[in-house]
Amino acid sequence: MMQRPGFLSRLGSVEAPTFVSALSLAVVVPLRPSRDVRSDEALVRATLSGARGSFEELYRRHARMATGMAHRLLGGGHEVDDVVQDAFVTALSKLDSLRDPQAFARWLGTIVVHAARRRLRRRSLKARLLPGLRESVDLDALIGAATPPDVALELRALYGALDSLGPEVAIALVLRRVEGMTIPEMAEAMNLSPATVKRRLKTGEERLGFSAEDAS
Amino acid sequence: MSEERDLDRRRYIEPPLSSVRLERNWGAIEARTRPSFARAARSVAVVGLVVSAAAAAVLFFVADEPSDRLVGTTLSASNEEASASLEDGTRIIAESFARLEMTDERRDEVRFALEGGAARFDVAHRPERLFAVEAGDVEVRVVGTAFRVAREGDSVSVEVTRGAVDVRRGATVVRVRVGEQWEGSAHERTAAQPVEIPVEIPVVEQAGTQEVSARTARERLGPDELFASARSLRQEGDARGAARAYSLFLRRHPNDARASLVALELGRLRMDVLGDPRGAIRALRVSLRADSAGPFAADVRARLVEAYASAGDRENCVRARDAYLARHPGGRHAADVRSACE
Repeated sequence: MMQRPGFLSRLGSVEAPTFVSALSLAVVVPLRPSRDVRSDEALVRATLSGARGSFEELYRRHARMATGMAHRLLGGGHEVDDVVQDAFVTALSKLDSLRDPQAFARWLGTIVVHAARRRLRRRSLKARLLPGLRESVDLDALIGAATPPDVALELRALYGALDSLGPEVAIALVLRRVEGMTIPEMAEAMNLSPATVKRRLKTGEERLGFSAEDAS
Repeated sequence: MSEERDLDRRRYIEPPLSSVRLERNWGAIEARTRPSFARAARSVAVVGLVVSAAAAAVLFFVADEPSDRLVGTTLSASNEEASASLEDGTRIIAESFARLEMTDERRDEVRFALEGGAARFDVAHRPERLFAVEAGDVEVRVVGTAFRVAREGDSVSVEVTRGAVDVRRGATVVRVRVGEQWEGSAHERTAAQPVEIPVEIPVVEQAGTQEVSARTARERLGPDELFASARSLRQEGDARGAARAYSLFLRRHPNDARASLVALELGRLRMDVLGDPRGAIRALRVSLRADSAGPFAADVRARLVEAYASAGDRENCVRARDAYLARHPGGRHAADVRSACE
């Protein structure tokens, strides 16, 4: 019986052999453990060697992360999908520059941040030049109903001012106070020094009246 | 959990992320990372018009529509017979509840695909032209005749009332003459060998330990498993296997909500990997028919333009291009589409 790596992992648990009724009520299918799941490194290398399907697998593995990140950086909206698409297209075109293939997800995150920054910059410019056409973030749709009140308050303040903060400050605040990144992680994602990241974060926190202690 | 993790509020701001959205994005990414549209466009005299209907994505066959209204269109007779005529006098009668698509019309070739029901054809004698009706993997080639093709599920029958036809299924060709009838499976594989859907898992009856055959398991595959199987094969580079699985999905689950997506995927495979633009065109039409206004419709229409261009079918390429630009003037493929048929 020919082994086809990766197939069963999509049907259910991959941690250990288990039983899932995948075919019909009368059929029980033992799933294989996850040993066949290829690492990001393997997928990156396979993509670089021309296996287009491997890049699709990378997409399927990380699309949720990238979409979530873009969604939070932009405060939702129709541009989120554009950012995700831009990010993956860029990732493929620059894949050979990725030094640590196993760090694909982190690297992709920096690309998402970069793509979102472009959109925020454009939005910021538009908001200044054409204030009447400014698109406000739908806070009720953006912030989940189960969000604790104190957190919801902060998030509403942040996203309500997103376009007026300037892209760099807005990104710093979202990465810190929504994505929960550390300063070094933010520095890597924003391609800035930790000191610059701290300055931008401080600027944003002061403008929104957030206390720095909240973030420490 | 560190102090920094306390600021992780991602769970409160989650995007609505459906599989449709993920697929749509992948489709766009794939389109943008492919080589640009093929420019090949041999000049071929084709009369055709891509027509799509809104809700049911099906046009009802009305009496004696001129042929150039029918190319690329799925024709569904309702509860009464409906007929159409080609310019050369060929007459087509769709019997009640038949679904018939004209997939090609050129000087040297006319093709229909019968998806269900029965249709009668009285074909004008033109030796230089191939007139064919496909029903699954069965192809009926006209030798100059009148005949009836019926398809019900996996069963196809051909009855000749004048002249003769050649019935092809795979490498087998049977000539059926006046007064004769041919009956068989719509699918070559189901007739000759088990459908090759690669699910390499031992299957055990729940009530006991008796193993059932892998073939039985494949036959029981539901749409989810077929879909996953196709995707898995595709990712592993087995394009033919994936195409077979997608085809099987469409045959077995034509009304599944993913039918449009599956047909698009099939079209991509045929176009990009298998080098079969004609097959891609058929699949893409199925996709549009399944959902002409859905999230993939723009991608499908753009792909259709590309497929026609690759097939050298300039006239249909132009029609498909115009259809795309009319529906999606600011679409992301607009620039490529505009120059695709040149």
